Amino acid sequence: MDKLLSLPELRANPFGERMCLIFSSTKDGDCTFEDFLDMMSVFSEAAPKSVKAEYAFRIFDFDGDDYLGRSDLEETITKLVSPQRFSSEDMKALVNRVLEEADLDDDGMLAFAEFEHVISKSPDFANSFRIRL
Amino acid sequence: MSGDRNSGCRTSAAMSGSGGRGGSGGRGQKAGSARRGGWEDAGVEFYREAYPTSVDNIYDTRITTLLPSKRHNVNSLGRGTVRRRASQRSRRQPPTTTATLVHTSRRGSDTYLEVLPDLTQGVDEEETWEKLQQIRAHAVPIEEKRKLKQQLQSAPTLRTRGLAAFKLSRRKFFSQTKSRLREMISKIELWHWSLRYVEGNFGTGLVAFFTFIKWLLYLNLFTCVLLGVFILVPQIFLVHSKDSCIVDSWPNSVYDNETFLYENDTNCCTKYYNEIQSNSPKRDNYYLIQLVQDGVQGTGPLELSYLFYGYYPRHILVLEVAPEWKYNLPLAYLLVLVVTLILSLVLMVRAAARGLRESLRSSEGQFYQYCNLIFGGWDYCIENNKAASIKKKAIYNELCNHLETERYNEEKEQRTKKERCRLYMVRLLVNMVVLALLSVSFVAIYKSTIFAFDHLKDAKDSKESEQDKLMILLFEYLPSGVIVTLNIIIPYLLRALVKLEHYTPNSILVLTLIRTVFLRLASLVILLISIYQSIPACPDSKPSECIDECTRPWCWETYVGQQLYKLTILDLIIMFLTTFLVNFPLKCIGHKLMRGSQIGAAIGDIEFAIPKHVLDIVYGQTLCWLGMFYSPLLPAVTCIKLVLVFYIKYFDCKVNSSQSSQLYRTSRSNALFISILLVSFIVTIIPVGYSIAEIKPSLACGPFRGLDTIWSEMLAVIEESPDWLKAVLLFLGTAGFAVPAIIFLILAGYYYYAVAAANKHMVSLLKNQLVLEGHDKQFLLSRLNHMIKMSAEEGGENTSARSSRPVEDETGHSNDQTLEA
Repeated sequence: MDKLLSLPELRANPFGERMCLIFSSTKDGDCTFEDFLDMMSVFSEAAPKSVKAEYAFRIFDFDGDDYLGRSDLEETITKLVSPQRFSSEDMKALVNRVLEEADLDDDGMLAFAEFEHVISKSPDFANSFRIRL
Repeated sequence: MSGDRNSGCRTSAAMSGSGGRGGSGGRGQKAGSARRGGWEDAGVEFYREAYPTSVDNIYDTRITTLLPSKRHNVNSLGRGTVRRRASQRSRRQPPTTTATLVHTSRRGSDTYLEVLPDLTQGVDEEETWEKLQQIRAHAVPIEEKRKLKQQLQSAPTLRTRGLAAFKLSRRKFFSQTKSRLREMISKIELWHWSLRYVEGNFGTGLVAFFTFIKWLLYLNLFTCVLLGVFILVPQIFLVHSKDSCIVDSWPNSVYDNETFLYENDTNCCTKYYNEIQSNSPKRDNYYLIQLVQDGVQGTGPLELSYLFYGYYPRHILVLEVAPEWKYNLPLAYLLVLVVTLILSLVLMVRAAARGLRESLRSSEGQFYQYCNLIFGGWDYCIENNKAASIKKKAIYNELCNHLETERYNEEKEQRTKKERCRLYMVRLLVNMVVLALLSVSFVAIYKSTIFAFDHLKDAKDSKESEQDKLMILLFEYLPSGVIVTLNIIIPYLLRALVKLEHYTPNSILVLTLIRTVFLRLASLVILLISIYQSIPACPDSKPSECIDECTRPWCWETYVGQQLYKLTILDLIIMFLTTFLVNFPLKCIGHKLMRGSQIGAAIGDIEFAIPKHVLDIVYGQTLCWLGMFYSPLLPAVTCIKLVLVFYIKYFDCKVNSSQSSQLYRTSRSNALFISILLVSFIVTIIPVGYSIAEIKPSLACGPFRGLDTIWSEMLAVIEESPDWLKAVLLFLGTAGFAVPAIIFLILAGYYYYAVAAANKHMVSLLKNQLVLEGHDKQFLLSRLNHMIKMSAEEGGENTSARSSRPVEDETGHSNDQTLEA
């Protein structure tokens, strides 16, 4: 996995490790060529939005329970702003806002359907969720 | 409020200025309960259990994996969609709005196979091909896709024959060529590597700016080609008959003020004008400077060239070898320009609509600012660590800003009446000050133009001396100099003033942008008005007179073209000077010489402020559109200028600027840039339209000399056209057509508005329904868990030897995977 993380495309990415884990077929972060091909094809410009949404969901789902719960969201935000930190009240407020916006059935977590719904409304996702070689 | 200074968000300091563009303020900020609109909280009537959230109860998660929504598979390859009767043949593309694809649980890789489609029925080639195309939309690893493809290809298919086969092969061919073409074009894209560099180091927000420049370049090239093919090429290759002019005697002095009467009206005027231009006294000392000056101003040899309106003759051009092939140049000139403007408008509206559609889609009812920022905020294209840390900081700033805005809005509601009054007074005052500033600048431009014009005439008339030459130069450039100075000073003042008004950062940006756009466009308009004032500043002369008693330019159209050409070149020079002679030294001084000190950082840290640069570009394009009619080659000049501008701005961005801490969103930026462009386009149409329709063209030059207005050329052509066409075209101009058309448009607009409002209401109803269903589900799940636990306890009490298998039997599902941890 370290070799992968030294690639320019993954070097600066806070979610780099997650990406390696998700795409690796042996689940330990090491990718064969085919896994790497998978990764690049998902991040290419021609990939359909639904595929990107699917893999984005898997990347953000840190505990692997098919739901984006509070801990997942907190982990995402922490990784996203990493040298800076939010206080716990701010973090709670942020997670509450996200759930307020996206959680349609009000169960405190985001299922994949809700996540995809939000992503389809997000104009920046398609532009930013790609790697150009 | 965050009490922790180290890791909490910054407090109210974040409001003023350095934060990024927040989302659209308070639009999405509804409290949780308000979302359920007209549904009241079930407080007293119903007993609501405190059902746990699913992470607490492990049984809960096991059971939830059995729910149908978790095994939902909606791809057109497979079976079973939510829609009850979906026929597969009728769908050409995978449904884009339906939810999950192969959303597989990660507990065991063999679940992949479960959701693969059932291929045992006989399918024909077309369906197979469609399914093959849609394998790409599956979110499974490549191995599975390969297996799927093999399965599909080896399954027995019915052959299609005849017309269906032909259609299928044509479809295949088209889709293949389309994808290959797209790939090829993306490889030979203009400035590909420069844009990649910017993207990798600055993020996609800045790339939107450079992509905008590229788009404008393509638009200008398109305009150039149209104008070139229809106006320039005929003028170069076709010939026309000579002007016949019978005159008694030529005047002796060039600047003789006597009026002349000629037998043939305008032909002699033209000849005379041409003679004057070509015989004008050449100042042979400082030849190079003269050349440069002529090049920049468009005078001298450039005046009677293809560059300006004055060179094009009022004749029907014919092919030299085949005199029957005629080409009506004046008509072509007018028509091509009108058509070009219309086509530019269409292209711009299309591009703006695309951006608008996206931003509307993202804000139908509720604006997902937090989700958009958190899930879509990270730019996966960033390649170096420094840019990544800056980006993280920018995201952090923006999140803090959102939180601050919310707190600010809460505070705002709690503001006392006295404070509110005071704030409104301050805002009113600031608006008045801004208006005063703008009007002062307009008056200054106007006065300086008139002043320069008058004195220019005087200076040219008097004997030439060294001092006079300098004065002439000064007066030539006075209006442009005033405009440029104001364009630099006023935005600073505006930015300082807007801080007093206490708006949200987003509103601050939009407001400053609007005011600056207003300043720039209006200064152009004032310039035009002052030129217009100086043109027919003479009393009405008899139609057969060439030179009037007052001195005004022989050919006012060329004069206008020259002014705009001069402004264009000046704009380019100033951009060049600012980048290389102002910003670059500042950066060098700040970063190299005074490294490490505060002052050094303050001087050297120049941010690449996108709004300012966008306004520069839009200003240049406005000049091009204004001058297009009077100088047909101005789009070509603008093309070259845009190429140079790209590299200047690229240098500015790459070398001079430090990383911006503001977050620029690509989608909204594009829509914003093009709407500013549209606004300026509409502003330029008015003067050009007015000059075509109302002002008398000059007698001495141009394709429309001798007519009352330029538009009468068009009217004359309509007169000569066949009767039915004439009747139709004339009818289009009457009130009998316009009024019903306007009424129809208003009705159509209202209809679409009503439909949209009804849809919005429906969406909110469905959302409320969904929330209630979610609550129902949780309630039932918790009850189920409760029952399972109770029966497990009872079962465990009864026999200690039995394993916990009965628990699984009770649930009635035999699928082992999901119940294993």
